[in-house]
Amino acid sequence: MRFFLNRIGFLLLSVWAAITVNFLIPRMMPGSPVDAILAHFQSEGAPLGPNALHALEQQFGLSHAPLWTQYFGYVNNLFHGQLGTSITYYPLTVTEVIGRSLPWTLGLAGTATIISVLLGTFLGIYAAWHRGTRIDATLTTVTMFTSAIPYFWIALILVYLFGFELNWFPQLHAFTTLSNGVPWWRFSADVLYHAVLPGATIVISAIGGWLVGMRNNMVQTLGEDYVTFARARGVRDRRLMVFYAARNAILPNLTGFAMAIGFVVGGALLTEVVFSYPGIGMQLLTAVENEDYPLMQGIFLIIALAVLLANFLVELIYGLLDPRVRQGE
Amino acid sequence: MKRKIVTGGIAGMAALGITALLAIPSMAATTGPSLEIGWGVYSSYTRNFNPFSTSDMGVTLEMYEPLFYFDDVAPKVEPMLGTSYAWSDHNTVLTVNLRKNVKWSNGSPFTAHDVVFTFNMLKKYPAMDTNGIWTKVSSIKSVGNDTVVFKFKQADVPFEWYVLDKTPIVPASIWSKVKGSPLDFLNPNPVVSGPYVLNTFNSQEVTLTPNKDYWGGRPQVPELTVPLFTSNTAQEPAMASGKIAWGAYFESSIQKLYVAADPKFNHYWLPPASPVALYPNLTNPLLAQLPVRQAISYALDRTKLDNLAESGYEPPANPTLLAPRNANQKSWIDGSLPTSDLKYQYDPKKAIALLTKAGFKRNSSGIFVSPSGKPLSFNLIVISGLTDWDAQAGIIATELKAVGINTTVSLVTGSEAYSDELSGKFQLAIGSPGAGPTPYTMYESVFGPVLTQGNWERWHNPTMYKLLNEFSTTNNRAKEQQLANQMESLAAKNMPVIGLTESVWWYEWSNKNYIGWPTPSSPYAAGSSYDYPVAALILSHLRLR
Repeated sequence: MRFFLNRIGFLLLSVWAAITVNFLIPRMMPGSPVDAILAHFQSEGAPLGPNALHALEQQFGLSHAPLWTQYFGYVNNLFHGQLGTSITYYPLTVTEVIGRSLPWTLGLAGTATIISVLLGTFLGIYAAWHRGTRIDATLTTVTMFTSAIPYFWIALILVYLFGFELNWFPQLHAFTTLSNGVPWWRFSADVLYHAVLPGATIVISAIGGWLVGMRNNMVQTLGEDYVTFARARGVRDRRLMVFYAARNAILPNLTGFAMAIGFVVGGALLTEVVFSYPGIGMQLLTAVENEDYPLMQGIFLIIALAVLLANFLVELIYGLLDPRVRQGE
Repeated sequence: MKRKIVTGGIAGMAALGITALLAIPSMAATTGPSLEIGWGVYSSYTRNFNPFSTSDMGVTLEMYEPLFYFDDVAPKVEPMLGTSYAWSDHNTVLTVNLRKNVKWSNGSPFTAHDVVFTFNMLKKYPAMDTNGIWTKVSSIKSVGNDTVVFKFKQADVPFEWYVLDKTPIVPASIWSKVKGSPLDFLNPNPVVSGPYVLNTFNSQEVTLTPNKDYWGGRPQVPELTVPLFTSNTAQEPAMASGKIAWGAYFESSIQKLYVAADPKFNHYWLPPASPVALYPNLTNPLLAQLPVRQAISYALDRTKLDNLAESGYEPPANPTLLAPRNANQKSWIDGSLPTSDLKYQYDPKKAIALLTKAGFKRNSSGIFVSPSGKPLSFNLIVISGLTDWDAQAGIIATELKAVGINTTVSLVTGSEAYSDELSGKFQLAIGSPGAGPTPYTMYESVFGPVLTQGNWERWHNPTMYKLLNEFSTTNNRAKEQQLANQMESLAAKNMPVIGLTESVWWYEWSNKNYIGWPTPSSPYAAGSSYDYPVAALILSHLRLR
């Protein structure tokens, strides 16, 4: 019990720290959201009218109040579930904007993460079982190589090869613009089709970590006495591989998976930017470019909460699985 | 004719067999293909058709019309919802006659009440009044159904531009029912007076159909399609292939990447809009000295700035800051000014001579130092991401170095640049003052007494203030010209800001399917869709080839 209370306390403290940092960081950027809007229109050659500075400050309710007053207002609003109104998408609220983007990110990065974990773990088991063979060497080397490549670069290569040169897949966006009245299955097929390249980017760059992690754990486990003993007792290979070795070696990957799910919300920012994928990452970029404080805060908050919660869950799981963690308090 | 298939991405959809499905006609009894236009860069579309919003859809600009269009490329005024206007009572009363028999797209008639309502809405919600109409206007009332009368607090003729051209008129019957601030109103189903109405909307594509009751006659293009583009780079191939027939985007090599792809149909026209200028902060004791600013100007090879940074599309600026290649601005330039005031000279030797004469001496590293020991060393801020401006800044730094002026370039965000210009925390900055129908608009913004309107260099010249004030109170073209001449001379001689190049209205079009576009030989409007309200005007001119 003490362990859980302790963890919850730590969670609350981290959330508070995240909220405070979220509030401060956007305000440390030089200029203000209104300056950004005015500069944008001016550089487009169509400057806003002579009273724009004053009018926009009024519209967005930009406060010149002391920072700490603004801070308490912000925290108070958060407690009431209000993230404020986006400036870029005014009058849409931050919640609405995040609500529109989050499903795309969860769908893309979430699915891609699950695929890379499953595929990586399976291949890792396979490689470890055949350790020292050519297959093991190839798998390990290739995935080590791909995971070392910056993932936005993989994205660019994929766009160039399969989008531009071969024209097999769309270069941009999450779906084709279709006439109204398209049956849902056509739309779903279209979304999947558009998700292939960005999804592949994430899988290619992430799979190496899972594969190598699993392989190394597995190799270690296979060297344990109980495995040797089981083999001596005549346990069949497949059974030995899956139920004796893999089952024990998979634990670190499981906890890693919980963490990865937390990071999914942050999205694969650069992948989304390269593919103009309408997820959280793209919105974050837009928010930063426009100094949209409320939207930035909202997105950072969601990301921070997801990561902190994932961490929290991992610790709980560890506590359940490994009594040493609980006792060590 | 086969209806054109629209896809947001570039790859073919044939792989999924979706192509056939897309060919659902959305409008019956029309001929001709859909016209696809590129309209700005968005991360995704929001169904916001509120013309007073800063985050509305670009196409809103063609849906709501103002009273008049003050041509940005020719000295003329095009009537839109208004037909004529006149000043009276010592130029404090502006009377506008409205077009008769105009209908909103829901069938209800357009009347003077709509105009009065629109302006009063700006009064009631000052946050909407970005033009500051109600800082100048004291009242508006209708006379009958077809006339409105604006009373000004004091004579301000040039301000007519904001009232007549920059304020979109909306239907009172719809907007009076909006609860709370109209700025929070997304206007998802716009009722409009313009040539096109909303047909379909999703987050990656918008389509519009003709407003069959349009006062200018039913438009000929049966459908407009506006696919989402998240960057210029994404738009380029779609433009070159002729898929997008109308664009207004910066392209570093139009001839090669756009025109050459289909030389018969792909065209561009880039009329100058307003100058790109180097703003010296005149509160800096070194930059406050005329010889220093003159030396900076002589050190700059503006043809090089144009060729290297602007791909040869943005010609050198004029010392009056007015563009001789823009027919409207040209009509204001005083041809009798001395040549040195009508054309910037590139003469680095002269720059060095001027500084030497003013008492500056070169130090051991070749930088000029003032008699009191201050080196000519400046920081130049420029908005990062505006790649052509960034390139100009680099060239400027090199050229200034060659005449003994040290310049470091700081790339900053638009927001930081704007805030530094507002607060005066900069030494040199690259910016662009907006132009208007008369030189007054630009001069009042860059040289006028209200700093926040663009007098970033902080030039306080009583003669200029006096000329500006006189200009604002007269409605006599000859008098205006005489005042403009004096202001031009003052600007050229004092060099409070240093012109670099002329920014242009970016405009590319394909006349493969439709003709009637504005061209250099038929310059009835600037072609850039973002130049409100040209889009409505251009679309009502288009017809099938």
